[in-house]
Amino acid sequence: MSIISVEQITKIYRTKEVETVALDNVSLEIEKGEFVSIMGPSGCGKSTLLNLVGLLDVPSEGKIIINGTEASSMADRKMASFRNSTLGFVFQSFHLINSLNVLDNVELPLLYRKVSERARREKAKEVLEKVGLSHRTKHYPSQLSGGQCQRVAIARAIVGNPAILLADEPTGNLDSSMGAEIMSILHNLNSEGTTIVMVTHDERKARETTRTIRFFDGHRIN
Amino acid sequence: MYKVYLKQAVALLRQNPFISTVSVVGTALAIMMVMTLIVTQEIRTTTAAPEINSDRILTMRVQYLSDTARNSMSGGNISMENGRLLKGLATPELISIQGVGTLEQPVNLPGETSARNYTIRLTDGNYWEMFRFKWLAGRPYGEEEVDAGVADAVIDSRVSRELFGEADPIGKTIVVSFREYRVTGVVDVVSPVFPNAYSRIWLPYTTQDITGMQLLLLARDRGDFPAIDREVREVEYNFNIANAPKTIWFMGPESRKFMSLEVWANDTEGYARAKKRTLAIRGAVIAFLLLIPAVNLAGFSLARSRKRTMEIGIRKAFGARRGVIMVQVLFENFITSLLGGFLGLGLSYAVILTSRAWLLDIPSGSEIPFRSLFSVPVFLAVLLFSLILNLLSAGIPAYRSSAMSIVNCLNRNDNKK
Repeated sequence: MSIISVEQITKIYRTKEVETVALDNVSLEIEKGEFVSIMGPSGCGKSTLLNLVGLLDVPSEGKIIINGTEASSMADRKMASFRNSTLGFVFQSFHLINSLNVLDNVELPLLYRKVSERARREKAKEVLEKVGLSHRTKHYPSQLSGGQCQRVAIARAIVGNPAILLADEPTGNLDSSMGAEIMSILHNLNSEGTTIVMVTHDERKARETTRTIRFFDGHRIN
Repeated sequence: MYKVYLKQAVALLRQNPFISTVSVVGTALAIMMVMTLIVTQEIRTTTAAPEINSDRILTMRVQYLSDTARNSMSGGNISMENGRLLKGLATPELISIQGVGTLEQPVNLPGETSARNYTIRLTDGNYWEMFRFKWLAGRPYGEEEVDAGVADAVIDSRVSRELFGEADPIGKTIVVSFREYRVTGVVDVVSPVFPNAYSRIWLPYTTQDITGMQLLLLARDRGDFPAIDREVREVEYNFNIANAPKTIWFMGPESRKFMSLEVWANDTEGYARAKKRTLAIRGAVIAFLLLIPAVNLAGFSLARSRKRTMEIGIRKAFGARRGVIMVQVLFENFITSLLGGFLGLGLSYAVILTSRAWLLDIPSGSEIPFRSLFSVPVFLAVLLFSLILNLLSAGIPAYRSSAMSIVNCLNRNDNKK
């Protein structure tokens, strides 16, 4: 059974003067446990697709079914809770909160569940250990390297045990050795059962994944 | 969760020292103005020795007498005759009748040619049971002595020192406005902030020619206030039946908190209207004092929340609901408001202490009771007004932040929803 099912989605951005079709009638299926890469030139709609699958945005048409639940038409409140429990995000520019230390950043998703402070702390330390940053818990993002920031971002994404990890060019801002480290962490997570969907420009990184889906001008191409 | 918000609020205050300082100072100035009004009112109505029962005391001071046959109407302080009539009310625990306010009269010792002016209050014997003065020597005069017109006097310790030096004044004679009085007691100096207790010399009201009286009605508890009011209305009704076509109306009885607002009218309906109007004006003044700085502070709140657009997107991406974002923004802003609130309270103390003569109409060196400055209502008022200012200044920015789409937040696109 597909863990992600995208059915004929279209995303149109409208302003007073212009109407831009970012995705046009796109469908795809992703199976549980897959590590899928999405590739295509800039502006082809791959990040838009990731935002829609991540329920960060809503499609103009079509539906998105995640884990058997039609998620794209959920009410705001229910969608927030579903996102929190099912999805994890890793962004190209890390998107850490600079006023929070590493530990507080990592436990952020648990803050929006009814998890005690002690349990939050323990879980956050556990995942930081997993990404090799247990010695940096009290540091702030500004005190870390790019690779360390992305590892914190991955720890934050997986702290709530999401079934799906969505990564938007996770190695895009890193040098090759740091990028390799991040890919290694993602592969480990995938081998533990996490389904991963990764947007990338890098053909070599895409070849490391189990399947690549290509986009051009808002359409899926095979 | 609030612990994390608190940590972040402190971090944000440190991150933007200029905006933080301007916000805190702006809030402090707004709260200072409001708290100056509130604390001034609190000082005027505080329940502290010697006025330990002020929250249970009702005051009656004004009567209006009309005669429809003569088409005449006269108003003024309660007459001696009506004062004695009202002293028969059954519901209050204790009733004291006294001259309205205080007088300045010349005082000297027998045989002295020069005199100095002192503040005099004319009271009955019940007065001494209604308040708790600190007695340094002697005793007060009682109801029998007042009724008999015995010329006794109670003086404060400073008057005693100024007139008698270190000698014991009890039993000695003073001359007040050319009449001799025997000193029966000495009390500690009373602060002029106590409108009913303050004086330098206290005399039986029957020993001087006065026409205007006021009554203090001590209720057993505040729940008796309506019953006391009903009984006063009954006295009016009976008076009006017995004296037709003359009719009488007594203003009040009113609590001390309300007396301090100084509302005046010459009939029941006018009085009700005047009370409502006075309270509405007070409310409007406070709202205005809060609204103007709130509009300015809203700009800072908006600027701060715009700086944090991406953070809001991140929080929403990881499961924060709109309500949670709103609460967080308001909570963090509330920390700033609260800091400003307590700074504003401190500034209001400074204003009151340096301008007490103007604000409270008391001599500039007068003592202000500690309890009226540091009371639970005062701190609750700071919390309340900080919260209101917070909602006024951060409510719209918080709503806007929470309503933005996640993608626009993450892309730092502030202009789109």
